[in-house]
Amino acid sequence: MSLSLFKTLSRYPFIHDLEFYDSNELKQNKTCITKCKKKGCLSLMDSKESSHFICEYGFDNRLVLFEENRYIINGIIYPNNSKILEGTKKVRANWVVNPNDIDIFLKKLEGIENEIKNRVNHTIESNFSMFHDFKTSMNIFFSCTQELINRLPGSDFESKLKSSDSLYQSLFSALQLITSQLGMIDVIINPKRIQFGNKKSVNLYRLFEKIKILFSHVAANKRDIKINLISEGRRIRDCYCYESIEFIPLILIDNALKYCVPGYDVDIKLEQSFNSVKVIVKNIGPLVPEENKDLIFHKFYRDPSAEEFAKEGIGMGLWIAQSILNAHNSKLNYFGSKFTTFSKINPKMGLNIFEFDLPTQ
Amino acid sequence: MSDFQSAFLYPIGVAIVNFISVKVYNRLNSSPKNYFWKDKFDDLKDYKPNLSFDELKRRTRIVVIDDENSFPISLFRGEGYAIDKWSKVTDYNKLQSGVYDIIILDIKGVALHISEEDGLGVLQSIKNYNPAQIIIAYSQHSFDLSKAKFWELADETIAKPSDFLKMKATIDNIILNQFQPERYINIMHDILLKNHYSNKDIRKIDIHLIRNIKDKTTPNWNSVFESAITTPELFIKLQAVASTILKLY
Repeated sequence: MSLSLFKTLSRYPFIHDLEFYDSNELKQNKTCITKCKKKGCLSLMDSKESSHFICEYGFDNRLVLFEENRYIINGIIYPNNSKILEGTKKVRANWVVNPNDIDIFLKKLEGIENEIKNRVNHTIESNFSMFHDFKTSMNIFFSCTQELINRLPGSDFESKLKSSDSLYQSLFSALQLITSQLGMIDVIINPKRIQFGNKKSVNLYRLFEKIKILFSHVAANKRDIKINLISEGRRIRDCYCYESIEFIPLILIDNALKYCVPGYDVDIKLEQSFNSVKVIVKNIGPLVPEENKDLIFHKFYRDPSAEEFAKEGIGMGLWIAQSILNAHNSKLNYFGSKFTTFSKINPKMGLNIFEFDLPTQ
Repeated sequence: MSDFQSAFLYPIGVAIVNFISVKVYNRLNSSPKNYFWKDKFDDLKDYKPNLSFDELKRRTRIVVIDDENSFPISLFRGEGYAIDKWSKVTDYNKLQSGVYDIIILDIKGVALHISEEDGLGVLQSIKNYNPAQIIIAYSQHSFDLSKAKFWELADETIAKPSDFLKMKATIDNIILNQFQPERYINIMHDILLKNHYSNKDIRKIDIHLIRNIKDKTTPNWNSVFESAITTPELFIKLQAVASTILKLY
């Protein structure tokens, strides 16, 4: 349950992420805010054995778990609490809470949360039934394309494809691109998809090379943009990644092309160091202002400079890329530089650099 | 006693005493020591199969359970995979007893006749019964938040639709990394330990299997899992895992 929802519904003061919150009905116990320096109640956050804790001032605290979120209902007094004097209980009568009332309250919250989940699922299912039908149709396209390639001469599918006409290869590449793009739509709806399956050995250079080939044709024909892919230093070693890592080159190259000034190059460089690979994607295009550098990784955010340059886009790509890299304990960084020859012609344009590191085997 | 007699009789006597001691020790400790007090058998995990990938691929029995015909069965068969196709779960016992090494399972429209939860119910039940069973989730419902458990419980996932080379890479990766004796030996040992078998009992079972691997014979399961005969569920579970181990040699 999200903090905002818990805050709206909670009848009791609580702690979340080390912050103390009042509820709509009851403020924080004064002692917890002003007198208590030790904040012993916070130890409950990491507790695995107990969900109840009596602090040094004698107040009851209760840990509440909602999937990944932990809350502590703090500074309350159970009626049978012998550490609090009867006089104090009278003064703090509003904070005297029967544990059963908390149980009932939590059950209600659980019910509300389940209802919300069901509604979200139902909405997704009804809104995306079209998407399901589209996937079914795509299955037919996949089967027919693969059957066509399989009829070509060769010992196995891969060799048949390799020795086939470039049209067949483009057709199969389109099919692979559709597979990836459908996967990305799944991630938008269900971000857990990023960590589906087991991690396996993946060579980032080969992944970027594959996507580069897919996009090169379009880039050169439509926008007069060349994609350069180079690896520097030692041979690029494999990384241990989830399957979703294949969306990274797709997103970064697609973005670099979309926001590249026609006639300029997109440069992709991979550098193998001792135990990691650094990937750098550069283009000349609209610069992101300093204050929006973090925002571009937010879901549905499109920087005004990007919107002005390219109409299409929904602001999902960089969010997906960042989520995938976070799942691999890495981070996508953005740097912009005005010190390019093109910036002299148009100061809104400059060198855009996206880079990240991943450990190699 | 002459020098001649003592020179011969003394070593013979020592040899006989040593021989009897080894026999008694082995009987008391269920140990496989030889005359020189060395283990007759190595660790089961030390036996590495010498199978080429093509042979391993041929021996891996795969079933695709999908109500649609989207899985490229003919392409896989053409490349030497032993692959069957069911449009729904027609023989649950086959799945449960480990006849198939890899089950590629759709989530919808495949098992409503046996489980309210359809594919998820089948997946949960098989994993509960035979934790060694490799199951690949194959569905176009990967966007569906309510089916999260299906994807979490599966050993691997293939999104639907996917291109053939991607599917092949996923299955090859499973064959190379998961369809290996060590994984199944570990799972068998885990099952035995959970059922309070001692290390000595486990070693005894391992030795049975080593003998069968060496002799290339089919074991008498009643004698391998003698103590599990009274608990049929455990017996079938162990037999399913152990059969897969032997299949890999």
